[in-house]
Amino acid sequence: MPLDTMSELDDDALLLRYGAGDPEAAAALTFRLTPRALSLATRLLGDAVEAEDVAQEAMLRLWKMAPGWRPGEAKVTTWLYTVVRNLATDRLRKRRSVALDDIPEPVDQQPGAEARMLNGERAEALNQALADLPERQRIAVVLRHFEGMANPDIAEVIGVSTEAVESLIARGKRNLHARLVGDKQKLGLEE
Amino acid sequence: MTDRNQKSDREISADLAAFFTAAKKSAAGPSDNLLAAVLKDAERLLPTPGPARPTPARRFSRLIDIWQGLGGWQAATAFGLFLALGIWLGYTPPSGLEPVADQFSGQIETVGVASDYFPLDDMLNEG
Repeated sequence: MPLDTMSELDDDALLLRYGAGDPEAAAALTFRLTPRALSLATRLLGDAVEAEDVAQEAMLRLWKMAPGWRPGEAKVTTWLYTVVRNLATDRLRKRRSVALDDIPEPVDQQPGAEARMLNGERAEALNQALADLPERQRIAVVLRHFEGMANPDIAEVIGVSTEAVESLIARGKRNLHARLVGDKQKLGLEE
Repeated sequence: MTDRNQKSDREISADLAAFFTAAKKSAAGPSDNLLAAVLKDAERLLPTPGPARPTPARRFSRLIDIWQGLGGWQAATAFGLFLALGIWLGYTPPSGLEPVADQFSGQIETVGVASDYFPLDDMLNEG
């Protein structure tokens, strides 16, 4: 089956085809899912090289798991994000000596964006602020606002209730706001 | 008590929207090297196509079909109850049944087949 036809199949169907030995399904899944795995890994780790390692490892686990995949029981993307999340968390734990959940919440009124924050640099500022968030807040905000996931799916990835996800996202955005929007004029947000 | 200066979630989202938009635009896609490495892994681990074998789940579903055909758990429960009742009655018959049981006790006779009906010797002699 041509690759462009493969693109019409959903993740479940592609994974089943790969599990049955279809190499074209492998290509379609690679081009579809690797960017998503890499995107999440990059935002969780803040390091492009480490993020690529995590994305490759997550995809490797996807290939290994494919023959036993049961369609309909879970979303492929949710499974993949969970793997990325776990791999990233392991790397962050090795990187830091203190437990991630013990990191204090950012304090309001910290120096916000600096003067360098112009339009093109907002992305970098946001990535930096994300990196400073407590782990679960960061994951929840990234999955919601970058990957466009629904709260129940995010809850599955993080392993908490949907209500807890809503709270994590709200607190995460409040913390980001405190860091980024200290000086609206500098950010060009003021009309 | 709520701080009057504290912004609502909606206002916070509005303030952050420009940041999220900028970050999405700046996101770099996977490098060619990464895609090549992922494809190489996929090729290396690609399962070999083979004849479909009956899965344990399918075999299990056949057993379930047979079980349902026999009446399922309802039939098994009824069977178990009557079996237990029969055993109980056999060992400890209720007092009302004892006179009846006594009528039969000692009256069982051995029934045999009279050899006159089947003269074996004659049959053997006839070949």
